[in-house]
Amino acid sequence: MRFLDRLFIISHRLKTKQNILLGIIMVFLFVVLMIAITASIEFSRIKNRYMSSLFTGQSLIAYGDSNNSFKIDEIDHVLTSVSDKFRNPISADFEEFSNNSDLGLEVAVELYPYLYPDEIEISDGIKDIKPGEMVCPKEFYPYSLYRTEDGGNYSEAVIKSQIIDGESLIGQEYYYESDKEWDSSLKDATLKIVGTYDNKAVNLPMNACFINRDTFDEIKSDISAMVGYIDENGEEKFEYQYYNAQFIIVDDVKNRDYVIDELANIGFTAESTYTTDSSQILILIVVPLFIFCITAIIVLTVIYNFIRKKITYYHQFIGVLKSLGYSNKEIIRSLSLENIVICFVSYIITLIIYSLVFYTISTDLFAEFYYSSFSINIPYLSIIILFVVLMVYIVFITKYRINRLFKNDISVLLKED
Amino acid sequence: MKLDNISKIFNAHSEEIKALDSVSYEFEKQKFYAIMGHSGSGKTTLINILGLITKPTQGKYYLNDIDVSTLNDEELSRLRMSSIGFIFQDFKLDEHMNALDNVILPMLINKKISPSERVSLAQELLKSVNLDNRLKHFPKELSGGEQQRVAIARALANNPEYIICDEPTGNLDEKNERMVFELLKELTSNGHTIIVVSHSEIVKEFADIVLNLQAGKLSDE
Repeated sequence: MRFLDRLFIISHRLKTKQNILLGIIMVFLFVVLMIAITASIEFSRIKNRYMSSLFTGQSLIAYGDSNNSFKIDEIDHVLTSVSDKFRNPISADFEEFSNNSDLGLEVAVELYPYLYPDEIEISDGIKDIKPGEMVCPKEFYPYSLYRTEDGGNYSEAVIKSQIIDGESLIGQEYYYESDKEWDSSLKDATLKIVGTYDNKAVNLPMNACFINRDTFDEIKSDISAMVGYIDENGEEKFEYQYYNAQFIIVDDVKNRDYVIDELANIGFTAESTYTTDSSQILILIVVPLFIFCITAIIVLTVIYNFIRKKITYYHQFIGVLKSLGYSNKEIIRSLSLENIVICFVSYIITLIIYSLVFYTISTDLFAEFYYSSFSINIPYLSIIILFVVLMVYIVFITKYRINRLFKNDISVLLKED
Repeated sequence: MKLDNISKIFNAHSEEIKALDSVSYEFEKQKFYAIMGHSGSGKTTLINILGLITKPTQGKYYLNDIDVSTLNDEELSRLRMSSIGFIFQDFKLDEHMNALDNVILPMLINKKISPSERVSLAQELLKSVNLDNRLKHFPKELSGGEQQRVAIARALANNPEYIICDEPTGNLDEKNERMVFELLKELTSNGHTIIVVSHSEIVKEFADIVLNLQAGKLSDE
């Protein structure tokens, strides 16, 4: 029997109430499965990327005798070792970008020090960032993640229309004014954009620009904090605290433990700067996975029961086909195709709706991830694999249920309910 | 068609019921047979065995000199498709298909009929049962008599040698009953053998041979 002939048989039955209901149920179940699978896979991927990020997973803070800090550079797999003053970026509110206050945007450009060669891949083959130069993302968003809404509340958002093509800013100069009230030794700087880089490749936010290490040193204070205390005479006093640790970047997250051990050998106590709450990350991965498993069990059970009922309901039709001379194999193939078509149509409808809704709301819903270059995408490959598995399952249970029906005499199948 | 010592026993509530008791009979070709009998006499069981729908508990059934008990599902299905056309009391048309598609349905598994021939052949068959103006009508839109005529056209789709009818006029009025029997009678002249199970006395007017079934035993009237 030809494929087209099978389609001829099933085409008459696709619009039945049962099949429409089966399609609706499948759309609903597919949506839940797709959400669960997207969450499990994407959060797991984000965790892994975060772990291998330069300023998180690949970096260490080491405490020890600063006179011995030169020895750190001699340790294998250490890319650079600097004062922990270089660990955190400087926030700059360049006035040139402040013409969007009506959108509630707050200008905030993060200035990172360019610590070692090839730390980032700069456009036009630029290998080094000279004093007074600045390299910004190709997709540059020089604002804070938080925007002020009407009523003074804050919300997380990335306004896509305000993302700037970094290339268009090459040659532009921006003035950075230091906070001299905090530290009078600080200098101001004029920073000229000379190139762009791909912030997603190094997992940095959309507002992260790199500047020369010496320029960074001049505009960021050595004072890390000012601590207030009450002396023995009851007077309030202040004491400055200075950066006193070493900020180390290793070449690969795999070598982190090796470097920590080597640091211990030269008298340094080191710890990872990766401080994200691991239980929180675990929840982000495990909860969707749990939802996925529960949903999968529900999906398999619902589909099984629905097909069982449907095949039972079809017993007379199957009996008629048998009386007309259809073999068991032909009936199984035709009814399996019917269920596959329903499943396929539901799947395509779900995928279209899911993709449209996802990409419409994901920028707002996952603004923090998007801003931090950890964009969440639909894991299409996993979803396709899931579909294939479900197809195989549907064919299997259709065959199983029809074969059970075939144990009856055809005259039994032909009887009314 | 030859029945050789056929018995059929059903088990109901741990009790054995002998629906057919050592039936032996050979059906001649191109005849109109009417099988009469009371309710529960085993008529439907007999016709189901003849139509390869039920297997006998005992005995041999030969169709075109083939012992059907030796055939597997594929072979039985092929034999059913090529040699037997079934007509039921309640028509058993597919309610989701129109008259034309219902007649095309058996042709889909017949390799001798090409896809391009199907529609014209089905139209021809429906025309032969005076339904050429009802091709696109669904069973719900047809009267009982019309539905049974669609069922006759469907039974003829693969040009089988035997047409087996289980109470084909049970749901029809007398006018339609006569029309159906006339149609069936005409088929014998086209080479078909007709076997009808019926309560109706009218069938005797059309039958060449009337058989009686009583308590599972078959006899000539």
